[in-house]
Order: sequence, then structure tokens, then C-alpha cells
Amino acid sequence: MVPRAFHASAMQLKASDAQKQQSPPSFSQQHSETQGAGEPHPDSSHSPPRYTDQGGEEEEDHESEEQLQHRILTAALEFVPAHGWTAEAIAEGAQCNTRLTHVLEEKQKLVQLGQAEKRKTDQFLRDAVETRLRMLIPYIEHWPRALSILMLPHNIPSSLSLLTSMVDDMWHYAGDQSTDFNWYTRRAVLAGIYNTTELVMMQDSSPDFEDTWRFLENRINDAMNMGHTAKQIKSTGEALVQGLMGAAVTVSSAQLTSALPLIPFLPCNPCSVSLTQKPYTGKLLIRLTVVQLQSLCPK
Amino acid sequence: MSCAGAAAAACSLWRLPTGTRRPISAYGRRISIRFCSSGMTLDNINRAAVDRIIRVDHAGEYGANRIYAGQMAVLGRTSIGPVIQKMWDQEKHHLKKFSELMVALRVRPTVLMPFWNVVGFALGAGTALLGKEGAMACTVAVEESIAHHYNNQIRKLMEEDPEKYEELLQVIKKFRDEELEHHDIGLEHDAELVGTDLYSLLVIGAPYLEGSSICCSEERYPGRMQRSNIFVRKILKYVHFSLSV
Repeated sequence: MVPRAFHASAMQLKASDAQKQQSPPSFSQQHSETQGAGEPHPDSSHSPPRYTDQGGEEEEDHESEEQLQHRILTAALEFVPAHGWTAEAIAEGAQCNTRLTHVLEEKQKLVQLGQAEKRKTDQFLRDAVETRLRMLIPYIEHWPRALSILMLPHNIPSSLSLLTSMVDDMWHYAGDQSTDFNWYTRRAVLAGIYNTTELVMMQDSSPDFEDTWRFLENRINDAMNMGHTAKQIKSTGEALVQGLMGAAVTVSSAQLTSALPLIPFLPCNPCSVSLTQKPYTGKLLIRLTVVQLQSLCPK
Repeated sequence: MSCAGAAAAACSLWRLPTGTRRPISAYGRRISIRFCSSGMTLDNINRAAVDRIIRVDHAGEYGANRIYAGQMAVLGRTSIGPVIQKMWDQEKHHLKKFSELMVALRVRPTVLMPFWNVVGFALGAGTALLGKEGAMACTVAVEESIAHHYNNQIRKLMEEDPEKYEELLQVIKKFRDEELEHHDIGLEHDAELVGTDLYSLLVIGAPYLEGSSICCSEERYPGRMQRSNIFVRKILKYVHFSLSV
């Protein structure tokens, strides 16, 4: 019922477009993009089944076909708040992505021209995700349904490719120049942040989605801290390894060189044993003495 | 019903999202201005082929880097040290160039980078433990296969459009010549004196595995090496694929 009404209204739109357009032949000879969609789908949303036809003119304007589809989809989006989503979920994603790319490109140019300051990575990513999510605001009531359609097994390849290209764009404009495994971890982290923030936005009822932006800020800070922590662990590990290597070298060289430097150390130990109160330290010192005695013995 | 319709419509919409125009961004342009002058933008190149080429070359240079690092770790203080260091510096320059290309052309790096990190170092160190001849034999093997690889890529790009890919072709040709120089340096320093016993056979077969092709090896390493080469060649097909994963 609803899809049928939608279909009808989209047909009307197409008809009005056809009147405006100069070249009706190209219109009726649109080449169907998937031959598999040849069967009639009365309940399906719109464009492609109607373009199944007898032998399209292929050399003719692949461009105008795309532009035409684009226009129909944009127009179809206007019907969404009234009639709900079908396949426009993907179209919406694609269009938002291109808009996002343009916005990011503009900002990049501003920075290069010196009119804007270069922002830090986390601020930049926060703004980029916010910009992208704000594009969803007009469709927010029906977006959960759109998300569920995007999750259908048939649509997962295209929705994944949308997500990955969007995340790649964001990181590229944020200045990421990594060429090792970091490339993958960064994009995976940002994709996770984007998805969770989107889900939060679905249930957000605060004015102007303040809670969502605060959630986003916290997640990005978490990600940045994770990065810092990872670096710290790595440097600590390296320092530790160096310390152990140094200790090993010292011990081995101490055993190899003559024992003379160690002898003055011996008499001190019994004194220190009597002086210390704690039995543990005493045992440690006794062990040290034993080690020194052993190193004195010729091997 | 609506699901099937949505699916059908979605299939046909597949081309729409992925056909977005992506010019080289201002960011990428800053890194490699020259590529814009030759008319090579992200739109008009054969993205799949160039992606693969840059990814494999980057992985190869990274692996070569790690091999030399391994060799230096073992043989750094011997007489052959300066020679290896010089070759290593050139490889570092190659890697830097491919990293720049990778960022400018928005190519993703290979997933197996950590793997090549470890394997390359192990290979370099392992062959260096065989002595100077072992290290040089490893160098010869790797450089030979890398040069063969570059030649294939040059051929492929020339077949497509020499003018469009002019800059990229220049880069690959220059690097191929430098790799062949390394190969000759390796031969000069007695690579052929490496033994032909089973251990050497396995260890020298491994660089071919990493370099991902064999060519003209029968002349260099006669006898038992021939049988191992056939076996190794079969494996190399899979390695070649894995370099571009």
C-alpha cells in the first residue's frame, strides 16, 4: 500500500521530468544496471525496474543516466518523511558522503589559503562526524528503519563500502599519512565511533542533540587516550628491555672480570645483616654474598 | 515483498554510490604536484591496477628494508657492513617514495605489514648467519625477483597508456635500475660462492619466496637448485597474491 503509493507518486515525478527533458529517447532507453532485476516488481520502490527495457543505448550518456537517477533519488527523498524508507537508505548515504567530501575539501582549501587555522586531529574528527550526522537530522524519525535496511545481507556490501569510503575520507582530510597497520586500526576505530554515535543519536531527545555530541566527544577522547597509552606502553617496554639488557651485560661482565673489586664488598655484608631488622632484606643480602662467593670460585 | 524490491533496487544502486568522483584532494596534491601535471588524477587512471602496483611495490620495498636491517644486525661490523648500509639507504629512499605515492593516490597499505616486518628481518638475519656469501646470495635473489616484478609492471603500464602514467613509469624504471645495481653488487661480492647443500638450498630458496618470482635462476645456481626452483615457483604464485592483500 505504502510502497504502491510511493511508486505512483514517483511515477508522476518521472512523468513531469520527462516533459521537462529534451531527449525522451534516452529516457526510455535507459539501460538497466542489473539484468537480474528484470522481473517486474510492482511493490519495489522505483527507478531500476522501470528501466528494464529492450536493449539500451549504451554509448548514450551513461552520465545522464546517472544524473537522472540522482535526480530521481533526490526527489524521492522528499517523500521519505511521509512514506518511510525503502532503498533510499543507500542513496542517502551516498549523497551524504559526497556532500561531506565537498565540505571537507572546502575546509582544506581554507586552511591552505591561510584563512582558517589548522585544527587538531580530534577536533577535526569530531567536527567531521558531527557534520555527517547532522545531515541525517531531516530523516531522523525514519532513520532506524533505514539502518535496518542497510543491515540486510543484500545491502551489506554497499553499506560497508559507503562506511569505509567515508571513514577513509575523514582520516585523509584529518591528515593521516600512515602507511602501515595503523592505517587499518585508525579507520576501524573511527568507524566504531561513527556507528555508536549514530545509534545514540537515534534515541537522543535532548535539544539539538547535545547528548550525542557530548557522547561523541567522550568517545574520541577515549580513542586518543588509547593511542597515547599504547605509545607509552611501547616506550616503557623498550626502556624495560634496555634496562634488563644492561643488567645482563653488567652481571656477565662482572663474572668475567676478576673478583678483586668484589672482595671489599664481602665484609660489609655481615654488618648490614646485623643492622637490618627485616628478615627479607637479610636473606637477600645473604644471597648476594653467596653469589659473590660463587663468582670468586674459578669456573 | 518490499525486502526483495529493496534488494533489487539496492543492487542497481550499487554502482551509484561507488561511482562518486574523487579528484586528488588538495592534501594529496601538496605531496606530489608532479602527478597532476602529467594528467594523472584519481579519476582517469585504472584505479584497480595502479592500487595493486603501488601496494605490492610498497610491501616489497618494506620487506627489502627489513631484510637489509636483518643483515646489518648480524654483519654490520664486518667488512661488508658499509656495502650493505649503502644498499639499505637506497632502499629506505625507495620506501619513502612509495609511501608518498600511497598517500597521494589514496592507496591502502597491505594488511600483512606486521608479518613482512618479522619475516623480512628473520630472512635477512638468517641468511647473514651463513656468512657474507649467504647475505649476498639473499640480496641477489631478492633484487632479481624485484627487478623482474618491476619489469612486469612497466610493461603493463606501457600497454595501457605511456603518457598518462609517465611519472609513475619514470619512478618505477629508476628504482628497477637501482635494484639491478644492488643485484650486481651482490654478485661482485661472491654471492655465487654460497654452498649448494640442503641448508643453503632452503635458505636461499626463501628469498625467492619473498621476492615473489624467479627468473633466470637456473643459470646462477646449478644442480639441486633446479628442482627446488620448480617447487618454489608454485608457491610464489600464492605469495604474489598475498603481497597485494
